[in-house]
Formats: sequence, C-alpha cells, structure tokens
Amino acid sequence: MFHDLHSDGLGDGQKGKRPGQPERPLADREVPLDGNGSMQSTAIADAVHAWLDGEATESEARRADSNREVDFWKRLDEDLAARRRLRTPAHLQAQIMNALPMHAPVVITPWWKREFVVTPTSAIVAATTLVVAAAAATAFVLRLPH
Amino acid sequence: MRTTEPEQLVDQDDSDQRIIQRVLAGNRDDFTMLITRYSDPLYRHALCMTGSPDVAEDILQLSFIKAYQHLAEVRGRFDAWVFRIVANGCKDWLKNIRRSHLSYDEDDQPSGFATPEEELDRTELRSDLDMALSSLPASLREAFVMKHVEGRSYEEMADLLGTTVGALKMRVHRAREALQALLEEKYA
Repeated sequence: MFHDLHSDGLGDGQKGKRPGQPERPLADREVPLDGNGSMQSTAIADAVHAWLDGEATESEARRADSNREVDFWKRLDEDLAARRRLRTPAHLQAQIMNALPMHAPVVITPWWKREFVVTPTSAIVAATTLVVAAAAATAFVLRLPH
Repeated sequence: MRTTEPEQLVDQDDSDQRIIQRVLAGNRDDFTMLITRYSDPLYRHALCMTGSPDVAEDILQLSFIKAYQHLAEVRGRFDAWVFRIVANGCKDWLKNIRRSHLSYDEDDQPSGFATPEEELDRTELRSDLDMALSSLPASLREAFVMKHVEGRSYEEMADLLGTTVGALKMRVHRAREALQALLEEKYA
C-alpha cells in the first residue's frame, strides 16, 4: 500500500508556517480556510510519512514506535482503496457525447498565420491603394513649410 | 499504488495528439476515446473534491465540453490540460458552495465485504472520511486526493498543479496530520 515508485527523496524540512510570517493573499481559485483558519492536527512521525510516501517499509515505520499510527493508516487505506476503484457512471460518457456541439471544434488561426491568396483583382486593388497612398504622402510632405 | 511510466506517457501523448487531429478534422465521435481514457481518474478527483456524485458528473461533463470546444488550443499533454480544467472546476465549485457534508453513494459499485457488520463499518468509515476530507482546505484536500486516491507521484502532481514537489509534500503531510487528528480517536 501507498508505495510510490517516483519517490523524490526530499526531506520534510518545510513544515508549517514560520511564526510572525505575514498572511499571504489568496491565490487564484484558492478556497479560504473555514472560520478563523485554524485546523487541528496531530504530528505524525517522519518514518510514517516516509512509509506513506513509499520511501520506507512498513517495518521501518513500526520500528519508530508508531504502531498505532501505522494501524490507523492501514485502516484508512481500506476506504481509500475503495475510492481508487471508483469508475465513472456508465451513462456519463454517452451523456457527455450528446451534450457536445455537433460541429467540429473551431480552429482559430491568428491573421498573421492565415494563408494569403493573391488574385489578379486583389493584386490590382493593393497596387492601386499603394500608389494612391504614396502619392498622398508625397503631396503632403511637399506642402510642408520648409 | 499506480504510477505511470514516462515511456507510456510519451506513447499515450502521441496517441492523444492523433485523436485530437482527427476530432479537429471533423471526426467528432473520436472524442469518445479521450473521454474513455481519462474519465475515471478525473471522476475520482471530482468526486473526492466535491463529495457529491451529481456535482462530480456535472463538473466532468462541463469540463469535457470545454475541452472539446477549445481542443485546437491544446499545448502539451492532453491529460494534464484536461486535468487542470476539472481541477479548476472543482475549486470554482468549492469557492461558491459552502456545504456541510454530502456523502456519495456507491450503488453501482461492487461490495467486497462479506458480512453486514463489515459493510456497516465500511459505510461508517467512508462517511467519517468524507466528513474529515470536506473539512480540509481545498489545497490540502486536492493534494491528499491526488496522492492517496489517484496514486500520483509528487513529480506528476507538481507538473499538473504547477508547484514544487516540496510544497506538495508539505500539503500532503499537513492533510494527513489533520485527518489523523479528526479520525484517530475513533479508528486508531
């Protein structure tokens, strides 16, 4: 139980909040603590945490005089194991497919990535616009007082 | 406990990308494959976070619809992307709804317990654990569920949540200590 092949081997040196540390603002989507924010907790031996993280064996955890904690977590794992077996209700997949839009997802391409097709008409229009704009700019510059 | 090997992730990601291209090309029904592949862990996450099967179903349905509509915007792994949609859906729901306790029923789940007494014990433990989980702050509950129900490694969790392994270890440890404080009197 609880074995994790991807153990990271980091220590537990980052527990708790330092006294006097100011309250940080809530991050996006963070749900605030209930009431005054206090939460009861019981210190768990590091060996038990290591066992629960898959970094130590059960006997190593028990050796740390933590038989009671190990038994407690083994009992809790009976329920967690049942939760690990939970499956999506059978009807949900069809329900989701029925709720999807009938058309394919829209692929929005930014204008600078879009393909630019030059037709004779668009080429003439673009060239004319360019010539007119250049002539207007030249006329404007020539009229400026020196 | 289940873990996912990196090679398997790469293969799965390639396969996901192929399915996404087919869906974007107009093969709408291929989206079923992505739902089948990822709905179970996402449902477990939503159910453990909200404590309600109806809410979990709603969140999952809305998340997959959102994923379908924005499928062209997937960058990187589809499973990580859709997980973030579901996780954010759960957090948004928790932010808006303050509930006392909702337990889920497992009518369609097979019972592996032999006697009515064992069944009763199991139901009681499940209900107490639901209650204890619902009293945890969302960030601790999320970390605990990802570790102990979804069986993810700390590295995988850090990748999905965009935080550090150390911070997640701290959250899981704090969640365990809070759960033990709430339940040890009855179950230790």
